[in-house]
Amino acid sequence: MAASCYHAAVPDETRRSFLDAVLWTSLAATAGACLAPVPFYLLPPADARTRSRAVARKRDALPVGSHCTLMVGSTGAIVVNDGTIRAFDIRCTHTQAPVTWDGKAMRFVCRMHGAVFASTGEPLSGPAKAPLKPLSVEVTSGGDVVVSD
Amino acid sequence: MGWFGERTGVSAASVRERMARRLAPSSAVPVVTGTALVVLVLTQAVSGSLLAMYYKPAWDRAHASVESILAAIPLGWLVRSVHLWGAHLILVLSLAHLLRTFWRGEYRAPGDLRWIVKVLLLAIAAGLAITGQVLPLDAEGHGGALVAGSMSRAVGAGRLVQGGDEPGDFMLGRFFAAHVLWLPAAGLALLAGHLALVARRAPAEVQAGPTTLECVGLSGLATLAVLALLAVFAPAGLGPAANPLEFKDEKPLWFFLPAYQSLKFLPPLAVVAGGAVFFAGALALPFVAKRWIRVAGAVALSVALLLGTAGALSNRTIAGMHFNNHGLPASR
Repeated sequence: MAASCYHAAVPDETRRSFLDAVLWTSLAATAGACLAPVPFYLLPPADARTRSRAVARKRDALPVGSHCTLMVGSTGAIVVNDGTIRAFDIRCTHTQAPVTWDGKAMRFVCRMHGAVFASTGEPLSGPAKAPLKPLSVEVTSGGDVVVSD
Repeated sequence: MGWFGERTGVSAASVRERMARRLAPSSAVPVVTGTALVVLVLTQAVSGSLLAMYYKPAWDRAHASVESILAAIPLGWLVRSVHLWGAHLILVLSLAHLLRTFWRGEYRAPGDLRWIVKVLLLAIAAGLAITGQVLPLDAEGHGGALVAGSMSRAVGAGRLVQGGDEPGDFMLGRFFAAHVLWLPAAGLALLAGHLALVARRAPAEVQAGPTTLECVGLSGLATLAVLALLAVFAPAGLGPAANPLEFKDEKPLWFFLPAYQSLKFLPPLAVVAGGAVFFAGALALPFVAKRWIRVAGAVALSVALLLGTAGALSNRTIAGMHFNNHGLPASR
């Protein structure tokens, strides 16, 4: 009101604005502290890696040029025969869509954005730059093709 | 002044006066599209809340829960159809609403804050479209989750967006929370701010033309009629459940076809960066003083829109449906 009526007005206002600044700073710091746990909460621990294996099919049922797909644990896998039996994670390294096998041209094609991979998994053309992720494959004495990640 | 007016300053008389004001065509158009958008946002809020009652945000149950909404819940197909058609209409109308502001140069002061709010609202609508398309986890939604995951990994935010190393339960939970809580809350707050800014601006008084009530009422009725006709006569379907071993030639929502086409020749990081530059440019537009920069921006936007439309057409034509861009027949 009539603050200018007495001389203490100026130091009083300085003190008040200082305390206001302290209050605002405390409010901002408290709000920040309340939000600090959020980033931790948003980043859960890494998935536990478990190794899986699965039988694809009999060796004889996988002639040259043919392929089959199967789930190895939670990973989609594609097994092809280009002379050698090879297995890959089926997901394209560009945006993770499942690739398809072109048995005549002996290459993988991703129909989502058109990436093309050699039968060895190397990228040939299109937007993918990294090779398909190979999975280990073995033929048991019983003739089963077994894929493991 | 009645009981309510004494407490709020809003009286029946003041509302009637505002509604009786006649509008010139230039101010009637945004009232019509704006009303349609508000009506659509309200129907999305209601239909979305209804869908959330049966939807299950779990990787292995989501698709079945949407299937059961369509098959087992009385009028579930109608609620979902309203929600999907409402989403398409919101994207079309908000793009039109924003482009009109752009081409009329109304992003400059005093419209600059309204422009920024509109751009943020469109970004939220895009976020709702991305997350909403994933939720049913049909083939298209699954493809969307894979692409969203790849793009987030490309910018080092993979674990933040996916909640893990790969798309899965945690990612679906995040998308669900974003779709039903975070984005709608932010969107409704921004929309309230936008409407408050619009209400502050008194449109020019004109002698002839439709009244505000006619614009608001007819637009609201027409919007609901169009939505109802689309929802009933072109009910939204549901694709097959996602199969991680087989690609079904799924395409993203039309709104994202420019990004989809760009991904055919650009790495995900470049597409994310391009989107960020586009968004930052739209936000900075009111503060760009030089006319030639605005003109260049307008030309770039128009070219991008033309290319996006061309890309959309190339993938939506019969040839685009049956052949992908590499001349390979579709697997279907």
